[in-house]
Amino acid sequence: MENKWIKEFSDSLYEAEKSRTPVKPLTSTKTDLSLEEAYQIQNFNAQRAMKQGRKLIGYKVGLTSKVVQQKFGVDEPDFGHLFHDMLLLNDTEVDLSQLIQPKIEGEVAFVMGKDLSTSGVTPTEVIRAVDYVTCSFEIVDSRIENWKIKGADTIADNGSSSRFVLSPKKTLLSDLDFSHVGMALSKNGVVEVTGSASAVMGNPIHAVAFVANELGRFGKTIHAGDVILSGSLSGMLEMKDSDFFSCEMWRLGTVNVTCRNKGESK
Amino acid sequence: MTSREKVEALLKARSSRTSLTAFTDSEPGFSIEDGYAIQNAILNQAIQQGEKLSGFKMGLTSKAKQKDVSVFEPIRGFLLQSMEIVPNGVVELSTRIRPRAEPEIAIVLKEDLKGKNVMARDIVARIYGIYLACEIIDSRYKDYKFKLPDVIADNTSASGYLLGNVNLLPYLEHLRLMGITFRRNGEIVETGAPAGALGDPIMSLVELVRSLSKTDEGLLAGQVVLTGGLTNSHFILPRDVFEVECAYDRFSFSVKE
Repeated sequence: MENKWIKEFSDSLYEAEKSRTPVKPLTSTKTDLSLEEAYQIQNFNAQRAMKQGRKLIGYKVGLTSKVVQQKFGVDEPDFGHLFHDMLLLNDTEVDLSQLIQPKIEGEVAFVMGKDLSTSGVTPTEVIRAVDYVTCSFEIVDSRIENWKIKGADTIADNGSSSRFVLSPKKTLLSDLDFSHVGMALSKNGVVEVTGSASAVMGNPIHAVAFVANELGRFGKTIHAGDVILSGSLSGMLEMKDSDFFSCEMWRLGTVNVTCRNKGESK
Repeated sequence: MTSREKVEALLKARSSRTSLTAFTDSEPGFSIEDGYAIQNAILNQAIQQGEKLSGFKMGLTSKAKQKDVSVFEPIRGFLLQSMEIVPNGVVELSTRIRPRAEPEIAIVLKEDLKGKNVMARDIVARIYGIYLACEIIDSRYKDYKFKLPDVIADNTSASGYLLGNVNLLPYLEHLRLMGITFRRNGEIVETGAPAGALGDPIMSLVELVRSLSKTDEGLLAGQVVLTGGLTNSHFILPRDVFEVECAYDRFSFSVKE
């Protein structure tokens, strides 16, 4: 039932990721590509991934700050799918030769303890359903040339998601007020950017409620055990060979990752 | 332009609210040292007129700002008692040109400290108070267009400052990662954390004391140190209400024509 071009766009993004060769913005080929159509492309590739045996382990929320939304010409956040092979262990290396043009950002990650409803999800329901929260890195990597993306491009491209790292520290929500969770993102030992979790829709819990309600529209549910990356606390940094990145968050732990270019490819 | 003329030009720009073009535009040889000489002359003149030195401010303390100007050490300016605005008070536009505001952390020592080899632990042992703060900057150059020596001569754009009431010293171990939220008219416009100031605001004092020691000066007990901007600065406009918040304190200020 999908349009022919939905499959074509899906195939081109899939091939771009596999061959690490970015494609032209979809919105330059089809200028009227809607956000709904972009989600159909994303879903097509998510189905393909699951058929190939990749395990869906959660979702990422993006475009959570007003400034970024304005930049991409959208007025609400977007989301993408997270698969098990995107999760890197903390304190390990990320192989840049597998990626195209990666960037890194610090986010609050939620690990769910209970399923959420598929509609009308409120922050209260989210708070009751969260198992724990922790500090995370999201490594984003656009399959679109030179990151020349509009809202529909990044949505079709699975929210530009690529890899992520979770801190092993488990913090209970109990008395945590996210508006005061500060973050420092360092490169090679020097703090490059800072932020506070209030940057994410005022409170990252709002981002989890948002994605739960969005998923409901596609007949999907957030399940116990799912990981939700709730959106960046500040700007993102480019990743170069040998760079060492560290992200610290108040009470939520630390994540570290080192960049290595292990292959000749790309 | 002689040094004396530069001092007069900066003072006149402030009093008449008309901005200047940067000195380095016409005098490319105008150096950082020249800039500090002008800054000191302005301070001395203020003190002769009965103003009181209340402390110092550090600039270029974030990696992003250092990259912007390709200078990898912080710069300093002075604060006068008349620049301090009470928390929840009013920032007057009538005495300023095109002011901007940015949240910071302020630190006050309880003992004098000087020396070129001062370490962070020397600072920590002498802290009287740590405060949530907001700095008002106001460049005397048109559209904030200047090079480093210019902005040093212009006292690093210093114009005003507010300190919160709560002493955050008991939370020192949380200071670096204490999230800071900056709101304009209720909307979050910036967030940051004190780690953005040289990795730790304490390091900003280390740099300040070391730099003062070059002229055999030191930091005095009770002087306020603004340790460096933690977010982008925002223009302040008539009727705006800005709010700075962290876990243990918050204050606001309104803006009046």
